[in-house]
Amino acid sequence: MEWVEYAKKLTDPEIARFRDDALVDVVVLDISNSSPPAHIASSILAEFGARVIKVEPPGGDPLREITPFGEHYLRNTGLNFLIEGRNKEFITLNLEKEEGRELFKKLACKADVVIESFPPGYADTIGIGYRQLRGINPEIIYLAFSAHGHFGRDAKELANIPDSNLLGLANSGYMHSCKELDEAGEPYSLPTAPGFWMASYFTAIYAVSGILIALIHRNRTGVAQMIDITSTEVMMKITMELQWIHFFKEPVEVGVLPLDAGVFSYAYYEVKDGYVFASGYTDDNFRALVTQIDAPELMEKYPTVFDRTPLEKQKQAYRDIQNAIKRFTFEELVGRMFEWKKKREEGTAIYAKVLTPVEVLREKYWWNKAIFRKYRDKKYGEFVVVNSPWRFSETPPKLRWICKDIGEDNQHIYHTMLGLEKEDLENLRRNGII
Amino acid sequence: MRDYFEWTEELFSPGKEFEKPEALEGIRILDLTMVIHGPETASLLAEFGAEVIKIEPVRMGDLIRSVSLWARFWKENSLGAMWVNRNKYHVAIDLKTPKGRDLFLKLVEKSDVIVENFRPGVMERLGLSYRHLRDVKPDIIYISLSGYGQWGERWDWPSFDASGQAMSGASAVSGYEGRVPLRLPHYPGDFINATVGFMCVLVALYYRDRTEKGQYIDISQVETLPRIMDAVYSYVALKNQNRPRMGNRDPNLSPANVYRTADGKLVTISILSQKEFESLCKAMNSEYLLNDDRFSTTSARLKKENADELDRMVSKWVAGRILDDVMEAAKTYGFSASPVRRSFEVYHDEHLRDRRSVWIYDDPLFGDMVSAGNPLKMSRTPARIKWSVYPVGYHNRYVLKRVLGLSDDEIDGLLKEGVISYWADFIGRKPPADFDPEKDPVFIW
Repeated sequence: MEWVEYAKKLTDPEIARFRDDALVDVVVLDISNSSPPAHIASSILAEFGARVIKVEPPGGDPLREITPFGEHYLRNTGLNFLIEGRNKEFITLNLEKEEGRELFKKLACKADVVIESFPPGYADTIGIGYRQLRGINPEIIYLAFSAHGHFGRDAKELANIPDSNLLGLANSGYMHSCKELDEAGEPYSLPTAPGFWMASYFTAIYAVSGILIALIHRNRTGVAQMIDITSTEVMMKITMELQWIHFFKEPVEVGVLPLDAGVFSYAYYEVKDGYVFASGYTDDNFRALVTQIDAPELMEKYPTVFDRTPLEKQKQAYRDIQNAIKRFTFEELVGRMFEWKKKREEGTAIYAKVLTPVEVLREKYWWNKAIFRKYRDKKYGEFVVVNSPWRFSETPPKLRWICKDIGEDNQHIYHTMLGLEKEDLENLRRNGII
Repeated sequence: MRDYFEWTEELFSPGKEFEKPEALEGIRILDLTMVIHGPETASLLAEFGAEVIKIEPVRMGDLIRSVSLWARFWKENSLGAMWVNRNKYHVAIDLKTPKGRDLFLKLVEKSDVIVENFRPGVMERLGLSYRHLRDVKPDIIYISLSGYGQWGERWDWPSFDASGQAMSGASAVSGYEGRVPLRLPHYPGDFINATVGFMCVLVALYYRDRTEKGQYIDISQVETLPRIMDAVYSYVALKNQNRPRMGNRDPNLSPANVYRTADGKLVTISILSQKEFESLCKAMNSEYLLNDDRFSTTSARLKKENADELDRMVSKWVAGRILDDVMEAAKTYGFSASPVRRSFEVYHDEHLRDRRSVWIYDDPLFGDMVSAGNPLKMSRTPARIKWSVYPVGYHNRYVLKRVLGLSDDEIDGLLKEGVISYWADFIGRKPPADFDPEKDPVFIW
């Protein structure tokens, strides 16, 4: 059997739902509020099979109201919340009241993980921080999201500032590297955020990893711990500039789009029918690129990496390639690439079309690979969901349900976990606890 | 009760990372990866104590050793290679030779995880794909990172971070209308999916601890991007129309933008909940806005025309204040705001140094050095930076003797036959000129 066929058999999405859940024995209480990374992290944990109980205040998490341009609410739920409610159970509990906190502590005794996003110190003040929870459940793993963390010299002073996607991008230095050259003029030459919640999602992926490390350690040693995470520090892990500053004792300018501080050509260009990415970094690959776009003289003009990479040279080289490449359509470039391959010439130039989401949605590819799914739901109607794209042979992530209403699982959870009966719940409701 | 922050300071005890246990101690990982995408996955595992053996092609090693910021090297080594390779043992084996393959298989028997990012099919041709290795080590965890995954119509398409951004729609939603879409810098398609790889290996380790079963994991740089693009795809599919590109405006939040202060600095302000909006209104001394139908609920604030109006108001408010005053208001009233900083300021941030996110240390090879500490601050099993990249094949002896029990003669034989090698005398591959490997007991193990 060919590898491709064998690989598909290993991780075929058609049979994924019959496979095991990796985190089937993990119970997570997500008491986060207005926190995209926390909501996303608990969504991913639930995809891997954890039992995630999202604990909302009686009015619901304000994140439920978030949706692009305030346009689409499905059953009063904004898209951003809806698509990350995956496989979670939803209960309400008023943590502002003592009675609510007492109930929460009882739940925490039966949980493995607590996820929160309060201002650092606040949970401690109201008696449900890690300091208190580990007293009643020493095995609890406690994950806290914040803007500037729970320790360090400014932690207390900055505790009131909520984290956000923009904050992480700006405070880490990432945004400063995401801008066009000065020549472009404002606003294009000013730091720019990616057009989606990059910092929030990246932070969520780290956070899930942290919980897994803590679970692995706890299961081996019996010792639990607290995890403190900020989106600033997550984004710092990819801004590759600290070493330069440390070694050369000077700032480094990397916000030079459409150019790149590391390699050239590694850029987007305008072509006849839109924009393409075109690469050719090593000498062989650069030759392939300039020959395919009918500009072989550029090889003589920029013979080595050192003639192409430094900023002023790269600006000139970019202009030269832009002038040559704009005479082609994307399909023509791909045709040139295949011709080159057929002739078995040295080097590879790579082209990719810059596609809009509408164009991507039209490609069969994504549907065939089960990345997109038309989700049909009695309550929410029909809409497109991005499935988990991570393929596992034994424990694939799964989408069982997309979301639920505020407090939909109150009865079930409070009954099965705490043994509360209908009249108990009715009393709690009357007292504004659930 | 003791002050919370005094207590957390002791709980996390930054600076004492090396006195605490490592969560992944005893896990051995074979890292067959190059450039950023795979190497970062293995580095993250190594930061939490896994023993990572990076197996590079003989002599010239990993391609990233040729790449540096603005082609500027430090002590003849690549800043890129230094950044993404941490705490690893570096071995060079020619896997195309039968003896090299045997050597690798012997290492597999004693390992827990394989990480590879060759083009799909390459490991199969070498006889080292998952179906081969599971016979050698049934509970092996094997992760492949690639452009488009191991199967499907595009399995053999070459891919870079940027082609992934282009093909997934990530670039087309970023920047401004009418401009070349933004190729998001610092290779986020590589780094974020590398972190996904780290997460997936941990999922598999957790499952293996419980069931003794290994497994195969196939992740794709291009396919991960739509999953992390918030509600973009659900929204665009409902509308059947692209979202306009709005620079720093966030269509999901209002107000949310970068604003210019009276002293010419840039600051982000980002409001999610109505409670945060109240805080901002108090700071702006504009609480009357809370009773204005256009802004009295989150869904009203988000409407394009209302969001535009609010954006203008905030812009005007910020323009009348210096950055320090805006930040003071954010601290006092509690709304999300941050200066737009350069990495230069980040590097000098004492708070981030306290938290070991700017991690300055003495590297055994390069001396005075910095790295970005792991953003997961774990009170019991903190991550740590031990060392950065080593020359090609530097730990040959250390690994082959300690893990496989090879003799000096056997190692010399493999060297002579070219099955294993040390570094080529080439920039990016060799030790710094001021470092003498012969004096390092690890090198001459």
